[in-house]
Amino acid sequence: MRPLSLKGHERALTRVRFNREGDLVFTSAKDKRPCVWYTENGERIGSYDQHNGAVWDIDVTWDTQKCVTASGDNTVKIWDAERGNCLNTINHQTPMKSCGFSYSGNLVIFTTQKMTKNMSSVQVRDIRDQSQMVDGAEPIFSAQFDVNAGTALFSKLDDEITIGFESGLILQYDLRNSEQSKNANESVHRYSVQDLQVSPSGEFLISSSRDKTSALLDINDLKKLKQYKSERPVNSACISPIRDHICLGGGEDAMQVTQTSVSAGHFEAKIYHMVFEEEFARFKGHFGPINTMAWHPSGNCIATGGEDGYVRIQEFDEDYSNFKYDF
Amino acid sequence: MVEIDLNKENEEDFSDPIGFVDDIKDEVLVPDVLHQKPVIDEFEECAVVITGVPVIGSERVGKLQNVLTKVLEKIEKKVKLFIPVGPDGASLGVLLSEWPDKKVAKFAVESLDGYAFDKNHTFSAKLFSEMKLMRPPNDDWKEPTKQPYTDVGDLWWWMQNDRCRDQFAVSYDKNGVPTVGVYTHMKGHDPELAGDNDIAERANWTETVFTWSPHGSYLSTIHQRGIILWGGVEFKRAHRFAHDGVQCIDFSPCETYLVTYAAPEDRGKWWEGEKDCLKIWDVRTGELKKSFSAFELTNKTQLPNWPFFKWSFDEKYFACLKAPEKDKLEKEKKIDGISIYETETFELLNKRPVIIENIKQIDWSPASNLLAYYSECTDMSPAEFGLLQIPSLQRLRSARIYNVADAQMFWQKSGKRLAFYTMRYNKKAFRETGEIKYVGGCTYHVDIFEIDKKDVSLMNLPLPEAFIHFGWDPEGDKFCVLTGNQTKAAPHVYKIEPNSHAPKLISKLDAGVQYNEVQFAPKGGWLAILAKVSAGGNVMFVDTTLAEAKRTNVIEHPLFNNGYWDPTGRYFVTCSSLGGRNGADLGFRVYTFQGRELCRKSMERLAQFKWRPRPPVKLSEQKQKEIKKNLKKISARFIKQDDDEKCRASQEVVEKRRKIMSAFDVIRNRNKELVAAQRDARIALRSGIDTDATLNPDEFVEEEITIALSTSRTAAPISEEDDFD
Repeated sequence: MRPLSLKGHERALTRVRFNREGDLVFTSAKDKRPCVWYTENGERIGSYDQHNGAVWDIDVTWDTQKCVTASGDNTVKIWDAERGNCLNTINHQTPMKSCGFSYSGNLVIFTTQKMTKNMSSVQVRDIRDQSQMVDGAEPIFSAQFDVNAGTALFSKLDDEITIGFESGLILQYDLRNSEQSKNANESVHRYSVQDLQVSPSGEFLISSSRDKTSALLDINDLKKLKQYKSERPVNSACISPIRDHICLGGGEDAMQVTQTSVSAGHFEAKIYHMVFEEEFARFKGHFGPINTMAWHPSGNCIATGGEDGYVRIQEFDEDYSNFKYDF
Repeated sequence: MVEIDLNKENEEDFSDPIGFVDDIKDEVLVPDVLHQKPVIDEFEECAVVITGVPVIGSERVGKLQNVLTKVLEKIEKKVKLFIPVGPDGASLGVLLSEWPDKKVAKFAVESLDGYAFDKNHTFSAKLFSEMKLMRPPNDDWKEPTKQPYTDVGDLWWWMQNDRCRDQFAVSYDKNGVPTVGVYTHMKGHDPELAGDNDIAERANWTETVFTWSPHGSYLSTIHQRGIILWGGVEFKRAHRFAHDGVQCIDFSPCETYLVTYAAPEDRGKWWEGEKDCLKIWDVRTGELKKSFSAFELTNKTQLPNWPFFKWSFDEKYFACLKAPEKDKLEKEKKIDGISIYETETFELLNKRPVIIENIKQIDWSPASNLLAYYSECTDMSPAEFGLLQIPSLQRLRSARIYNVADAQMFWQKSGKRLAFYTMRYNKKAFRETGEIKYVGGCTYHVDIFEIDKKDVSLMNLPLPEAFIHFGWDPEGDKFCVLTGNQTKAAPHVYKIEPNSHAPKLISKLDAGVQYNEVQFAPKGGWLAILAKVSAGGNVMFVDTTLAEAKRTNVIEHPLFNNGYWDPTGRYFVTCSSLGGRNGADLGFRVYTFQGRELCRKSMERLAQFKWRPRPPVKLSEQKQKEIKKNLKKISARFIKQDDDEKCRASQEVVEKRRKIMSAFDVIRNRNKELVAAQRDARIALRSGIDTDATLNPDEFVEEEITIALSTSRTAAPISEEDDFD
């Protein structure tokens, strides 16, 4: 089947996400307009316009009621997903790098970048409590770090969060204790953690790093269970909801892309067996590094967003569904 | 005026007081210049000390004087000699002589050193100036203690692999630590470590690079303090050679000697370190055979190339180009000779270098003591390619060619033939910048000496296009020439027929992009043509065993920078290592001799890949014939073994996977239970809806929405009446 190639963004993609049912794709890019599309035919439904800078992350609640976006214009915005109007804006002194909803969709997490005297921070706020949704209000949870927290998410219901840092460190906190991290893993990655995703069934975390590997972590204690080696920095990885497969994507540094041929850049998405750590398939399409990817809830298609500004929705062919490992 | 005065007061006076004498000596200030300072004293260079003269009583000294005078006067009439005597008037076995000038003195040393005076007395002669440099023997000298012999086990153990598998070593970064590992190549699946984890693969095994000895007996590693050789099943330390700051090493062809080199400037004061910067060791005993000064060898403070010494096939001789001499204006002249050393004495053959003007390159025959040389052409004289027989120094054959701009020599491994390529120009012009420019195009030729033929016959083969590379079939009578340019390089395969005067072209293969090297398999027959460090990274595999050369496959390995045949010629490896092009994926790929890919492996910061060489094992002709005859029968056995192994391997893999999976399932089930325990909390968090439950398709409400994908303006009918009309 032909993959869909969605051209709606003017600049590099930063995040693609499906909603829970998988009928919609939410995308954010380094241009100012996050978009929402139909998965089925790739038609764009609309965009969320108000940001004035690169949008680094977008997330949607389980019931597809609300969206959250984090932007380089130093704001996090909560949107009405259907109508596209902005419900809340939280300002900060520095750019916001990553954001996400909790399991219930009532809490929102976001990270802020380190800049001059401002430390990098991770905050959690309750969107039901309007007093928390104004600038300078006291959040439910707040922690500050000397290294940039690149990515953060709710790893367990509304209780636990996991944060990935530029140094390669991964920390896990209980929301009730912002003083002391619950778990830490500093050995699995040597360079910046680019992305963290929870497995669809909630048993594992998958991390992606510039050290050219992606790792499967135990969601309860952050222990490394598996590690997948790629030839290039990994920007994003996701886990299949129906089979023991993972997919990762990345590629040559954006800075060096102009000096490499497409074949040497490794801009393909690579599929590995989750347990045996072996690569068995890859698919091409992007002509720049893949920045973000998400597995469709049905398990039979993957959305990828690239540095080239395209979103590709790739449906799997029959070979894939017939492919089986002997064991 | 006031201002000036003020300045003067502030200025410190740095000039020396009157009558000041500097107490720093020149030796401290400019030792490197003094090192090269010529000795002024002519006298010392005219005096020769001769030892080994008979010791006799006082009564016969006069007679000895007469005999010696006769001997010495044969060299030069104007010699003065003096026999020192002890207190009892008996001679001391020493003779002092004085010659009219230093040239004669030098000649006298050459002729008297080693002169057999009688049955029991052989002279050794030295210039007085050289004598002065000798140090008295160390008083504390003790006889060296016996070193216990370290038995590392069988050095050729890997040759006994029952499947005749070859080994290779790689140096790369394992988890960020530079590591050298020795692996066994397994056809069809991943290479296996050639031993236990910390035995065959070690972190920081070498500080720079590793090398195999030519027969594969030892793995040598370089360290700050010297060289270590490792051997045996467990790669135990077999030998150590202490050489501070060693950089380069080279083995003689049969592994008897090891040459090590440390750049003098890295050892503090170069004029001190450089005296013994080049050392030759005996590998088995660890004895230092001889050390050289790079400055004396080359007249430079650094060696120009490595390996510096070229070894003859049987290690009897080693040779290097002579140091260039300087003319009166201290300008370097062209090199005019070859220094050939004998390993029996580690002295120059015949005590003097062989003089050949404008010598550029030398190369030993791989099978006999023949030294091929190429001397550059000048405006006055042609270039010369010649064959020198050692030790007789007889010139077996030489060819003179005018207007040679560039040349290279290629020995066939069997030693039967020598090919040399020449680029010949029509006219030469000098640009204003002093660069040489060739006018009117160049022609390219390959010439071949046939050593076995009577009088060493010479064949000429003009090439239609520019020469790129050349390769001999090591044993057979074919060769391949690569000609063309960057974008279109065509390999030509030629055959030398016994009664023909020119090689016969048997195939011209399809031209390819950026081919730049020809490599015949070590046992001949199969040929790889490489496009190293190119974006396409092609390797063409060619079968030349039949009447016509045929391409079997072309593979792609973008940006690979090295290709190697394994020692048996069964496999070919392309590897992309550090030092190649930026942005290449470091790693190697193994192919069969026909170009079928067997395995690919990426390795972080791969620096070296080297097949372990095999020692020469010569089967009798009869045995070889027997094997060839029964090849079908034997190969069937091997194929069966391969299949069995494949089957076993896949079973093993399945077994291994099962184990991994069951270990993983333990964690997965534990986490599943934890998630399941959250069920009530999950439902509560999503306002009573169980989103984990599978969606029932029956509950779906089908909704049809019509959306106009595009609209366009069309002219509408004006009225119904118009329509009807």
